[in-house]
Amino acid sequence: MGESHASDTILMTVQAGPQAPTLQEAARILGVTKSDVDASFGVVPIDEERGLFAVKVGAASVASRPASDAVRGPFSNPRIATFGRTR
Amino acid sequence: MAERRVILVLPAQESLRNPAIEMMTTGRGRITRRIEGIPKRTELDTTFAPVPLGQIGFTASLAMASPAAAPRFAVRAVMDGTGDPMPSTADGAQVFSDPTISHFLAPGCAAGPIGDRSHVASLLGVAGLAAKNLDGAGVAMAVMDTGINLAHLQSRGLNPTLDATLTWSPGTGMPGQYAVDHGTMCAYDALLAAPRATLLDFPILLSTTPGGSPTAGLLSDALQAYATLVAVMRRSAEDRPFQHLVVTNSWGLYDPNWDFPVGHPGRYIDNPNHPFNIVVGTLSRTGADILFAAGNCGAECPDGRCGGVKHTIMGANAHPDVMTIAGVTTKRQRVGYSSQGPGIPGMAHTKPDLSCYTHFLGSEAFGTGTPDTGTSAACPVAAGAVAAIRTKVPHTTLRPRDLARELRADATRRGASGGWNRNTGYGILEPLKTATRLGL
Repeated sequence: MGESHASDTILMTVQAGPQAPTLQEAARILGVTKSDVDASFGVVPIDEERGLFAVKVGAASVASRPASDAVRGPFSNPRIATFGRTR
Repeated sequence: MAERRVILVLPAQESLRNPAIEMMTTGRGRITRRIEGIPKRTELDTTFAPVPLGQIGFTASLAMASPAAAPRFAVRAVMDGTGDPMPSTADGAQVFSDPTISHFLAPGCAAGPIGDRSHVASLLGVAGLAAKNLDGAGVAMAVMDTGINLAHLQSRGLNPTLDATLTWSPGTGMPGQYAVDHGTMCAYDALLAAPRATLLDFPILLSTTPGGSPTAGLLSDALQAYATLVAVMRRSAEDRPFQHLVVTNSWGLYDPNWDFPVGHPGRYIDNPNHPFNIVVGTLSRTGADILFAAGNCGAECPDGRCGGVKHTIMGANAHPDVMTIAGVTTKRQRVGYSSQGPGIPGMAHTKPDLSCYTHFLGSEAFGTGTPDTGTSAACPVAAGAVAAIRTKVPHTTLRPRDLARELRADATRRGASGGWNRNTGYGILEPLKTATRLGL
Protein backbone atom coordinates (compact mmCIF):
# COMPACT_ATOMS: atom_id res chain seq x y z
CA MET A 1 0.00 0.00 0.00
CA GLY A 2 1.22 3.44 -0.83
CA GLU A 3 1.17 6.52 1.31
CA SER A 4 -2.15 7.90 2.43
CA HIS A 5 -3.52 10.74 0.36
CA ALA A 6 -6.65 11.50 2.35
CA SER A 7 -7.23 15.20 2.74
CA ASP A 8 -7.79 16.97 6.04
CA THR A 9 -11.33 17.81 5.05
CA ILE A 10 -14.33 15.51 5.10
CA LEU A 11 -17.77 15.56 3.59
CA MET A 12 -21.04 15.48 5.52
CA THR A 13 -24.56 15.23 4.24
CA VAL A 14 -27.53 16.98 5.73
CA GLN A 15 -31.15 16.25 5.03
CA ALA A 16 -33.31 19.33 4.66
CA GLY A 17 -36.39 20.39 2.78
CA PRO A 18 -36.56 20.81 -0.96
CA GLN A 19 -34.74 24.12 -0.64
CA ALA A 20 -31.02 24.10 0.00
CA PRO A 21 -30.23 25.20 3.57
CA THR A 22 -28.04 28.21 4.03
CA LEU A 23 -24.52 27.72 5.30
CA GLN A 24 -25.72 28.87 8.71
CA GLU A 25 -28.61 26.40 8.69
CA ALA A 26 -26.33 23.57 7.55
CA ALA A 27 -23.92 24.37 10.36
CA ARG A 28 -26.76 24.31 12.85
CA ILE A 29 -27.98 20.94 11.62
CA LEU A 30 -24.44 19.60 11.85
CA GLY A 31 -23.92 21.07 15.29
CA VAL A 32 -20.86 23.04 14.28
CA THR A 33 -20.14 26.72 13.93
CA LYS A 34 -20.51 28.41 10.57
CA SER A 35 -16.77 28.93 10.39
CA ASP A 36 -16.27 25.16 10.52
CA VAL A 37 -18.10 24.78 7.20
CA ASP A 38 -16.15 25.40 3.99
CA ALA A 39 -17.91 28.44 2.55
CA SER A 40 -16.21 28.15 -0.83
CA PHE A 41 -17.62 24.65 -1.23
CA GLY A 42 -21.01 25.79 0.02
CA VAL A 43 -24.08 23.62 0.37
CA VAL A 44 -24.17 21.31 -2.63
CA PRO A 45 -27.36 19.49 -3.66
CA ILE A 46 -26.60 15.85 -4.33
CA ASP A 47 -30.14 14.45 -4.44
CA GLU A 48 -32.81 17.09 -4.29
CA GLU A 49 -35.62 14.53 -4.49
CA ARG A 50 -34.46 13.26 -1.10
CA GLY A 51 -33.56 16.75 0.15
CA LEU A 52 -29.94 15.69 0.49
CA PHE A 53 -27.07 18.18 0.51
CA ALA A 54 -23.32 17.88 0.98
CA VAL A 55 -21.03 20.21 2.87
CA LYS A 56 -17.30 20.13 3.45
CA VAL A 57 -15.87 20.64 6.90
CA GLY A 58 -12.56 20.30 8.63
CA ALA A 59 -12.04 16.75 9.80
CA ALA A 60 -11.47 17.81 13.38
CA SER A 61 -14.71 19.78 13.74
CA VAL A 62 -17.12 16.84 13.57
CA ALA A 63 -14.98 13.88 14.50
CA SER A 64 -16.49 13.37 17.91
CA ARG A 65 -20.03 14.56 17.28
CA PRO A 66 -22.85 12.02 17.12
CA ALA A 67 -24.81 11.85 13.89
CA SER A 68 -28.49 12.74 14.00
CA ASP A 69 -31.13 11.42 11.64
CA ALA A 70 -30.62 14.48 9.46
CA VAL A 71 -26.86 14.13 9.35
CA ARG A 72 -24.67 11.48 7.74
CA GLY A 73 -20.92 11.33 7.80
CA PRO A 74 -18.07 11.83 8.02
CA PHE A 75 -17.41 10.73 4.44
CA SER A 76 -13.95 10.64 2.94
CA ASN A 77 -12.68 13.30 0.57
CA PRO A 78 -9.79 11.43 -1.04
CA ARG A 79 -7.31 12.61 -3.59
CA ILE A 80 -8.17 11.65 -7.19
CA ALA A 81 -5.86 11.39 -10.20
CA THR A 82 -5.91 10.84 -13.94
CA PHE A 83 -5.75 7.32 -15.36
CA GLY A 84 -2.99 8.20 -17.75
CA ARG A 85 0.15 10.21 -18.07
CA THR A 86 0.29 13.91 -17.35
CA ARG A 87 2.89 16.49 -18.20
CA MET B 1 28.02 -26.01 -39.75
CA ALA B 2 24.84 -25.01 -37.94
CA GLU B 3 24.87 -25.19 -34.17
CA ARG B 4 21.89 -25.76 -31.96
CA ARG B 5 21.57 -25.34 -28.26
CA VAL B 6 19.97 -28.45 -26.83
CA ILE B 7 19.10 -30.10 -23.56
CA LEU B 8 20.24 -33.68 -23.31
CA VAL B 9 18.76 -36.23 -20.93
CA LEU B 10 21.35 -38.78 -19.95
CA PRO B 11 21.33 -41.87 -17.71
CA ALA B 12 22.52 -41.33 -14.16
CA GLN B 13 26.24 -41.50 -13.51
CA GLU B 14 28.45 -40.24 -10.73
CA SER B 15 29.95 -37.49 -12.85
CA LEU B 16 26.43 -36.02 -13.18
CA ARG B 17 25.14 -36.90 -9.72
CA ASN B 18 27.97 -35.25 -7.82
CA PRO B 19 27.70 -31.77 -9.35
CA ALA B 20 23.89 -32.01 -8.98
CA ILE B 21 24.28 -32.72 -5.26
CA GLU B 22 26.80 -29.92 -5.01
CA MET B 23 24.30 -27.58 -6.65
CA MET B 24 21.64 -28.53 -4.11
CA THR B 25 23.91 -27.98 -1.16
CA THR B 26 26.08 -25.03 -2.18
CA GLY B 27 24.19 -23.37 -5.02
CA ARG B 28 27.04 -24.15 -7.42
CA GLY B 29 27.60 -27.30 -9.44
CA ARG B 30 30.03 -27.71 -12.29
CA ILE B 31 30.75 -30.79 -14.39
CA THR B 32 34.41 -31.65 -13.90
CA ARG B 33 34.66 -35.26 -15.03
CA ARG B 34 34.05 -37.07 -18.29
CA ILE B 35 30.40 -37.84 -19.08
CA GLU B 36 29.36 -41.08 -20.74
CA GLY B 37 26.78 -41.01 -23.53
CA ILE B 38 27.44 -37.59 -25.04
CA PRO B 39 26.49 -37.74 -28.73
CA LYS B 40 29.07 -37.12 -31.40
CA ARG B 41 29.76 -33.52 -32.47
CA THR B 42 28.25 -32.29 -29.22
CA GLU B 43 29.93 -29.91 -26.84
CA LEU B 44 28.75 -30.10 -23.26
CA ASP B 45 28.21 -26.91 -21.24
CA THR B 46 30.17 -27.87 -18.12
CA THR B 47 29.08 -24.70 -16.30
CA PHE B 48 25.47 -25.90 -16.27
CA ALA B 49 24.73 -27.99 -13.19
CA PRO B 50 23.00 -31.28 -14.15
CA VAL B 51 19.31 -31.33 -13.26
CA PRO B 52 18.11 -34.58 -11.68
CA LEU B 53 15.03 -36.10 -13.30
CA GLY B 54 12.78 -38.93 -12.21
CA GLN B 55 10.38 -41.00 -14.27
CA ILE B 56 6.86 -41.11 -12.90
CA GLY B 57 3.55 -42.61 -13.94
CA PHE B 58 2.87 -45.20 -16.59
CA THR B 59 4.03 -43.01 -19.44
CA ALA B 60 7.56 -41.77 -19.82
CA SER B 61 6.99 -38.30 -18.43
CA LEU B 62 9.86 -36.80 -16.56
CA ALA B 63 9.79 -34.95 -13.30
CA MET B 64 12.40 -33.67 -10.94
CA ALA B 65 13.87 -36.14 -8.51
CA SER B 66 16.45 -35.93 -5.75
CA PRO B 67 20.01 -35.97 -7.13
CA ALA B 68 20.91 -38.92 -4.96
CA ALA B 69 18.28 -41.22 -6.48
CA ALA B 70 17.55 -39.70 -9.89
CA PRO B 71 17.75 -42.19 -12.78
CA ARG B 72 18.42 -39.46 -15.33
CA PHE B 73 19.93 -36.02 -15.55
CA ALA B 74 19.44 -33.10 -17.91
CA VAL B 75 22.47 -31.22 -19.16
CA ARG B 76 22.99 -28.34 -21.56
CA ALA B 77 24.96 -28.68 -24.75
CA VAL B 78 25.52 -27.44 -28.28
CA MET B 79 25.14 -29.86 -31.18
CA ASP B 80 26.78 -29.41 -34.56
CA GLY B 81 25.34 -30.43 -37.91
CA THR B 82 21.85 -31.25 -36.74
CA GLY B 83 19.43 -31.03 -39.62
CA ASP B 84 15.72 -30.43 -39.59
CA PRO B 85 13.91 -31.93 -37.89
CA MET B 86 16.21 -32.13 -34.89
CA PRO B 87 16.65 -35.78 -33.79
CA SER B 88 14.82 -36.80 -30.64
CA THR B 89 17.67 -39.08 -29.69
CA ALA B 90 21.34 -39.11 -30.53
CA ASP B 91 23.70 -41.90 -29.60
CA GLY B 92 21.32 -42.99 -26.83
CA ALA B 93 20.74 -39.54 -25.31
CA GLN B 94 17.33 -37.88 -25.48
CA VAL B 95 17.53 -34.50 -27.21
CA PHE B 96 15.28 -31.55 -26.45
CA SER B 97 15.33 -28.02 -27.81
CA ASP B 98 16.65 -25.19 -25.67
CA PRO B 99 15.06 -22.19 -27.35
CA THR B 100 15.70 -18.58 -26.52
CA ILE B 101 13.12 -17.29 -24.08
CA SER B 102 12.29 -13.81 -22.83
CA HIS B 103 9.80 -12.22 -20.48
CA PHE B 104 6.32 -11.69 -21.88
CA LEU B 105 5.70 -8.09 -22.71
CA ALA B 106 2.02 -7.66 -22.09
CA PRO B 107 0.13 -5.87 -24.85
CA GLY B 108 0.11 -2.19 -24.07
CA CYS B 109 2.98 -2.40 -21.65
CA ALA B 110 5.17 -1.25 -24.52
CA ALA B 111 5.71 2.48 -24.83
CA GLY B 112 5.08 2.96 -28.53
CA PRO B 113 1.72 3.52 -30.19
CA ILE B 114 -0.28 0.65 -31.64
CA GLY B 115 -2.23 2.09 -34.55
CA ASP B 116 -3.45 5.63 -34.97
CA ARG B 117 -6.67 7.61 -35.03
CA SER B 118 -7.58 6.30 -38.47
CA HIS B 119 -7.44 2.75 -37.15
CA VAL B 120 -9.64 3.69 -34.22
CA ALA B 121 -12.10 5.46 -36.50
CA SER B 122 -12.22 2.44 -38.78
CA LEU B 123 -12.76 0.02 -35.91
CA LEU B 124 -15.54 2.18 -34.47
CA GLY B 125 -17.20 2.55 -37.87
CA VAL B 126 -17.05 6.34 -37.73
CA ALA B 127 -17.65 6.67 -41.49
CA GLY B 128 -20.75 4.51 -41.16
CA LEU B 129 -21.95 6.54 -38.19
CA ALA B 130 -21.38 9.77 -40.11
CA ALA B 131 -23.34 8.37 -43.05
CA LYS B 132 -26.26 7.99 -40.65
CA ASN B 133 -25.69 11.58 -39.45
CA LEU B 134 -24.60 10.25 -36.09
CA ASP B 135 -21.88 12.80 -35.39
CA GLY B 136 -22.70 14.20 -31.97
CA ALA B 137 -24.63 17.25 -33.18
CA GLY B 138 -26.77 18.56 -30.34
CA VAL B 139 -24.90 16.47 -27.78
CA ALA B 140 -22.69 17.98 -25.08
CA MET B 141 -19.66 16.04 -23.88
CA ALA B 142 -18.43 17.09 -20.45
CA VAL B 143 -14.74 16.29 -20.06
CA MET B 144 -14.03 16.00 -16.34
CA ASP B 145 -10.28 16.31 -16.34
CA THR B 146 -7.35 18.74 -16.36
CA GLY B 147 -8.84 21.24 -18.78
CA ILE B 148 -8.98 21.51 -22.57
CA ASN B 149 -6.69 23.38 -24.93
CA LEU B 150 -8.72 24.19 -28.03
CA ALA B 151 -5.74 25.53 -29.96
CA HIS B 152 -4.02 22.16 -29.71
CA LEU B 153 -7.12 20.36 -30.93
CA GLN B 154 -7.30 22.74 -33.89
CA SER B 155 -3.61 22.19 -34.62
CA ARG B 156 -4.40 18.48 -34.84
CA GLY B 157 -6.99 19.06 -37.55
CA LEU B 158 -10.13 19.18 -35.43
CA ASN B 159 -12.74 21.89 -35.50
CA PRO B 160 -14.19 21.64 -32.02
CA THR B 161 -17.09 23.54 -30.53
CA LEU B 162 -16.90 24.40 -26.85
CA ASP B 163 -19.56 26.00 -24.67
CA ALA B 164 -17.58 28.16 -22.26
CA THR B 165 -20.69 29.18 -20.32
CA LEU B 166 -21.12 25.73 -18.82
CA THR B 167 -18.12 24.94 -16.67
CA TRP B 168 -16.90 24.54 -13.14
CA SER B 169 -13.33 24.74 -11.98
CA PRO B 170 -11.67 24.54 -8.58
CA GLY B 171 -9.12 27.10 -9.72
CA THR B 172 -8.62 29.83 -12.23
CA GLY B 173 -8.41 29.60 -15.99
CA MET B 174 -10.68 29.87 -18.98
CA PRO B 175 -12.52 26.94 -20.57
CA GLY B 176 -10.68 25.77 -23.65
CA GLN B 177 -7.52 27.63 -22.72
CA TYR B 178 -5.85 25.35 -20.23
CA ALA B 179 -2.34 23.98 -20.73
CA VAL B 180 -2.08 21.04 -23.10
CA ASP B 181 -2.27 17.98 -20.90
CA HIS B 182 -4.33 14.93 -20.10
CA GLY B 183 -7.66 16.75 -20.50
CA THR B 184 -6.79 17.84 -24.03
CA MET B 185 -5.98 14.23 -24.89
CA CYS B 186 -9.39 13.17 -23.55
CA ALA B 187 -11.19 15.88 -25.53
CA TYR B 188 -9.40 14.85 -28.72
CA ASP B 189 -10.30 11.21 -28.22
CA ALA B 190 -13.92 12.04 -27.41
CA LEU B 191 -14.28 13.88 -30.71
CA LEU B 192 -13.09 10.93 -32.80
CA ALA B 193 -16.58 9.49 -33.18
CA ALA B 194 -18.56 12.65 -32.41
CA PRO B 195 -16.81 15.55 -34.16
CA ARG B 196 -19.88 17.79 -33.96
CA ALA B 197 -20.48 17.34 -30.24
CA THR B 198 -20.09 20.39 -28.02
CA LEU B 199 -17.31 20.14 -25.46
CA LEU B 200 -17.89 21.21 -21.87
CA ASP B 201 -14.69 21.86 -19.95
CA PHE B 202 -14.68 20.76 -16.30
CA PRO B 203 -11.05 20.86 -15.08
CA ILE B 204 -11.75 19.13 -11.78
CA LEU B 205 -8.21 17.78 -11.59
CA LEU B 206 -6.63 21.21 -11.33
CA SER B 207 -7.31 21.48 -7.65
CA THR B 208 -6.08 24.41 -5.67
CA THR B 209 -7.49 22.84 -2.54
CA PRO B 210 -4.89 21.91 0.04
CA GLY B 211 -4.10 18.26 -0.52
CA GLY B 212 -4.45 18.52 -4.27
CA SER B 213 -1.67 18.82 -6.84
CA PRO B 214 -1.22 20.40 -10.29
CA THR B 215 -2.80 17.44 -12.08
CA ALA B 216 -4.82 15.88 -9.31
CA GLY B 217 -7.76 16.92 -7.28
CA LEU B 218 -10.02 16.02 -4.45
CA LEU B 219 -13.26 14.14 -4.75
CA SER B 220 -15.12 17.17 -3.41
CA ASP B 221 -14.08 19.05 -6.57
CA ALA B 222 -15.72 16.38 -8.68
CA LEU B 223 -18.80 16.52 -6.48
CA GLN B 224 -19.26 20.22 -7.10
CA ALA B 225 -18.79 19.76 -10.83
CA TYR B 226 -21.40 17.03 -10.89
CA ALA B 227 -23.85 19.17 -8.94
CA THR B 228 -23.36 21.86 -11.61
CA LEU B 229 -24.26 19.36 -14.32
CA VAL B 230 -27.30 18.17 -12.37
CA ALA B 231 -28.55 21.75 -12.21
CA VAL B 232 -28.11 22.15 -15.97
CA MET B 233 -29.90 18.89 -16.68
CA ARG B 234 -32.80 19.93 -14.45
CA ARG B 235 -33.53 22.83 -16.77
CA SER B 236 -36.28 22.31 -19.28
CA ALA B 237 -35.14 21.01 -22.65
CA GLU B 238 -35.87 24.43 -24.14
CA ASP B 239 -33.59 26.13 -21.62
CA ARG B 240 -30.69 23.75 -22.14
CA PRO B 241 -28.14 24.57 -24.83
CA PHE B 242 -27.93 20.91 -25.77
CA GLN B 243 -30.28 17.99 -26.20
CA HIS B 244 -28.22 15.40 -24.45
CA LEU B 245 -25.25 15.11 -22.10
CA VAL B 246 -22.43 12.58 -22.07
CA VAL B 247 -19.91 12.78 -19.22
CA THR B 248 -16.45 11.26 -19.58
CA ASN B 249 -14.28 10.58 -16.53
CA SER B 250 -10.71 9.35 -16.94
CA TRP B 251 -9.76 9.53 -13.29
CA GLY B 252 -10.14 7.78 -9.97
CA LEU B 253 -8.20 6.40 -7.04
CA TYR B 254 -5.13 4.24 -7.53
CA ASP B 255 -4.87 2.98 -4.02
CA PRO B 256 -7.49 2.13 -1.36
CA ASN B 257 -5.08 3.75 1.07
CA TRP B 258 -6.08 7.12 -0.36
CA ASP B 259 -9.48 6.53 1.22
CA PHE B 260 -10.80 5.90 4.71
CA PRO B 261 -9.88 2.49 6.17
CA VAL B 262 -11.78 -0.69 5.37
CA GLY B 263 -15.04 -0.85 7.28
CA HIS B 264 -15.36 2.89 7.87
CA PRO B 265 -18.96 3.90 7.07
CA GLY B 266 -17.72 7.06 5.36
CA ARG B 267 -15.43 5.26 2.96
CA TYR B 268 -15.82 6.16 -0.70
CA ILE B 269 -14.56 3.29 -2.82
CA ASP B 270 -17.06 0.62 -1.75
CA ASN B 271 -19.91 2.74 -0.48
CA PRO B 272 -22.96 3.58 -2.63
CA ASN B 273 -24.05 6.03 0.08
CA HIS B 274 -20.98 8.24 -0.24
CA PRO B 275 -22.11 11.73 -1.37
CA PHE B 276 -20.20 11.48 -4.62
CA ASN B 277 -21.73 8.13 -5.49
CA ILE B 278 -25.14 9.58 -4.67
CA VAL B 279 -24.67 12.56 -6.99
CA VAL B 280 -23.48 10.26 -9.78
CA GLY B 281 -26.76 8.37 -9.46
CA THR B 282 -28.67 11.64 -9.41
CA LEU B 283 -27.00 12.87 -12.60
CA SER B 284 -27.68 9.56 -14.29
CA ARG B 285 -31.38 9.84 -13.41
CA THR B 286 -31.53 13.19 -15.17
CA GLY B 287 -30.67 11.31 -18.36
CA ALA B 288 -26.94 11.89 -18.70
CA ASP B 289 -24.76 9.06 -19.95
CA ILE B 290 -21.78 8.76 -17.60
CA LEU B 291 -18.64 6.87 -18.50
CA PHE B 292 -15.70 6.11 -16.23
CA ALA B 293 -12.31 4.63 -17.05
CA ALA B 294 -11.72 1.25 -15.43
CA GLY B 295 -8.29 2.27 -14.17
CA ASN B 296 -4.66 1.43 -14.87
CA CYS B 297 -4.03 -1.29 -12.31
CA GLY B 298 -4.11 -4.34 -14.59
CA ALA B 299 -2.07 -7.29 -13.43
CA GLU B 300 0.47 -7.30 -16.27
CA CYS B 301 1.80 -3.76 -15.91
CA PRO B 302 0.03 -1.75 -13.22
CA ASP B 303 0.78 1.91 -12.69
CA GLY B 304 3.32 2.45 -9.94
CA ARG B 305 0.72 4.19 -7.80
CA CYS B 306 -1.57 1.14 -7.65
CA GLY B 307 -2.12 -0.35 -4.22
CA GLY B 308 -2.64 -3.80 -5.75
CA VAL B 309 -4.20 -5.44 -8.77
CA LYS B 310 -7.32 -6.96 -7.21
CA HIS B 311 -10.63 -5.12 -6.91
CA THR B 312 -9.05 -1.99 -8.34
CA ILE B 313 -12.23 -0.85 -10.10
CA MET B 314 -13.66 1.08 -7.23
CA GLY B 315 -15.74 4.06 -6.22
CA ALA B 316 -17.78 5.69 -8.97
CA ASN B 317 -15.68 3.78 -11.50
CA ALA B 318 -17.67 0.75 -10.32
CA HIS B 319 -21.01 2.57 -9.98
CA PRO B 320 -24.01 0.67 -11.33
CA ASP B 321 -25.25 3.74 -13.21
CA VAL B 322 -22.06 4.35 -15.19
CA MET B 323 -20.44 2.56 -18.10
CA THR B 324 -17.00 1.42 -17.00
CA ILE B 325 -14.53 1.23 -19.87
CA ALA B 326 -11.51 -1.07 -20.11
CA GLY B 327 -8.72 -0.57 -22.64
CA VAL B 328 -7.83 -2.56 -25.76
CA THR B 329 -5.36 -1.82 -28.53
CA THR B 330 -6.30 -1.36 -32.17
CA LYS B 331 -5.32 -5.02 -32.51
CA ARG B 332 -8.27 -5.67 -30.22
CA GLN B 333 -6.11 -7.03 -27.42
CA ARG B 334 -6.52 -5.90 -23.85
CA VAL B 335 -3.75 -3.57 -22.69
CA GLY B 336 -1.86 -4.99 -19.77
CA TYR B 337 -2.48 -2.03 -17.52
CA SER B 338 -6.27 -2.01 -17.90
CA SER B 339 -7.83 -2.72 -14.51
CA GLN B 340 -9.61 -6.02 -14.23
CA GLY B 341 -12.89 -6.81 -12.62
CA PRO B 342 -14.91 -7.61 -10.79
CA GLY B 343 -15.75 -4.30 -9.22
CA ILE B 344 -14.92 -3.81 -5.59
CA PRO B 345 -17.39 -5.57 -3.27
CA GLY B 346 -20.11 -3.11 -2.31
CA MET B 347 -20.31 -1.62 -5.80
CA ALA B 348 -21.37 -3.26 -9.08
CA HIS B 349 -19.80 -6.67 -9.67
CA THR B 350 -19.74 -6.92 -13.46
CA LYS B 351 -17.17 -4.22 -14.09
CA PRO B 352 -15.75 -3.26 -16.51
CA ASP B 353 -18.83 -3.05 -18.70
CA LEU B 354 -17.19 -2.58 -22.08
CA SER B 355 -13.82 -2.12 -23.73
CA CYS B 356 -12.64 0.52 -26.15
CA TYR B 357 -9.47 1.61 -27.90
CA THR B 358 -6.37 3.12 -26.36
CA HIS B 359 -2.59 3.25 -26.83
CA PHE B 360 -2.85 4.74 -30.32
CA LEU B 361 -1.29 7.76 -31.97
CA GLY B 362 -3.91 10.44 -31.59
CA SER B 363 -3.78 13.78 -29.84
CA GLU B 364 0.01 13.86 -29.40
CA ALA B 365 -0.75 15.99 -26.37
CA PHE B 366 2.42 14.69 -24.78
CA GLY B 367 4.67 15.21 -27.79
CA THR B 368 5.07 14.13 -31.37
CA GLY B 369 4.82 10.40 -31.76
CA THR B 370 3.58 9.89 -28.22
CA PRO B 371 0.46 7.71 -27.97
CA ASP B 372 -2.76 8.40 -26.14
CA THR B 373 -2.60 5.81 -23.41
CA GLY B 374 -4.33 4.46 -20.37
CA THR B 375 -7.95 3.62 -19.87
CA SER B 376 -7.91 7.42 -19.81
CA ALA B 377 -7.98 7.32 -23.61
CA ALA B 378 -10.35 4.37 -23.93
CA CYS B 379 -13.04 6.12 -21.88
CA PRO B 380 -13.43 9.28 -24.00
CA VAL B 381 -13.24 7.26 -27.22
CA ALA B 382 -16.21 5.29 -25.93
CA ALA B 383 -17.91 8.49 -24.76
CA GLY B 384 -17.65 9.86 -28.29
CA ALA B 385 -19.27 6.72 -29.63
CA VAL B 386 -22.12 7.11 -27.14
CA ALA B 387 -22.47 10.78 -28.12
CA ALA B 388 -22.69 9.78 -31.77
CA ILE B 389 -25.58 7.44 -31.05
CA ARG B 390 -27.25 10.07 -28.85
CA THR B 391 -27.42 12.38 -31.89
CA LYS B 392 -30.68 10.63 -32.74
CA VAL B 393 -31.65 8.83 -29.54
CA PRO B 394 -32.70 11.17 -26.73
CA HIS B 395 -32.58 9.92 -23.18
CA THR B 396 -36.34 10.26 -23.01
CA THR B 397 -36.50 7.45 -25.58
CA LEU B 398 -33.68 5.31 -24.24
CA ARG B 399 -32.54 5.85 -20.67
CA PRO B 400 -28.80 5.65 -19.92
CA ARG B 401 -29.10 2.19 -18.42
CA ASP B 402 -31.05 1.01 -21.46
CA LEU B 403 -28.50 2.39 -23.89
CA ALA B 404 -25.74 0.70 -21.90
CA ARG B 405 -27.63 -2.57 -22.21
CA GLU B 406 -27.98 -2.14 -25.98
CA LEU B 407 -24.26 -1.41 -26.33
CA ARG B 408 -23.36 -4.45 -24.26
CA ALA B 409 -25.57 -6.62 -26.46
CA ASP B 410 -23.59 -5.76 -29.59
CA ALA B 411 -20.10 -5.76 -28.11
CA THR B 412 -17.55 -8.13 -29.60
CA ARG B 413 -16.91 -10.85 -27.05
CA ARG B 414 -13.38 -11.93 -26.28
CA GLY B 415 -12.50 -15.48 -25.33
CA ALA B 416 -14.67 -18.54 -25.14
CA SER B 417 -17.25 -17.10 -22.78
CA GLY B 418 -20.14 -15.33 -24.42
CA GLY B 419 -20.95 -13.26 -21.37
CA TRP B 420 -19.07 -10.93 -19.10
CA ASN B 421 -15.42 -11.43 -18.29
CA ARG B 422 -13.12 -9.60 -15.92
CA ASN B 423 -10.74 -8.35 -18.60
CA THR B 424 -12.92 -6.77 -21.26
CA GLY B 425 -16.35 -6.82 -19.63
CA TYR B 426 -19.08 -7.65 -22.14
CA GLY B 427 -16.67 -7.01 -25.00
CA ILE B 428 -15.38 -4.33 -27.34
CA LEU B 429 -17.74 -1.49 -28.13
CA GLU B 430 -19.37 -1.71 -31.58
CA PRO B 431 -21.34 1.53 -31.94
CA LEU B 432 -22.12 1.14 -35.64
CA LYS B 433 -23.59 -2.29 -35.04
CA THR B 434 -25.79 -0.90 -32.27
CA ALA B 435 -26.83 2.10 -34.35
CA THR B 436 -27.79 -0.14 -37.24
CA ARG B 437 -29.72 -2.55 -35.05
CA LEU B 438 -31.60 0.34 -33.47
CA GLY B 439 -32.58 1.49 -36.95
CA LEU B 440 -30.82 4.85 -36.73
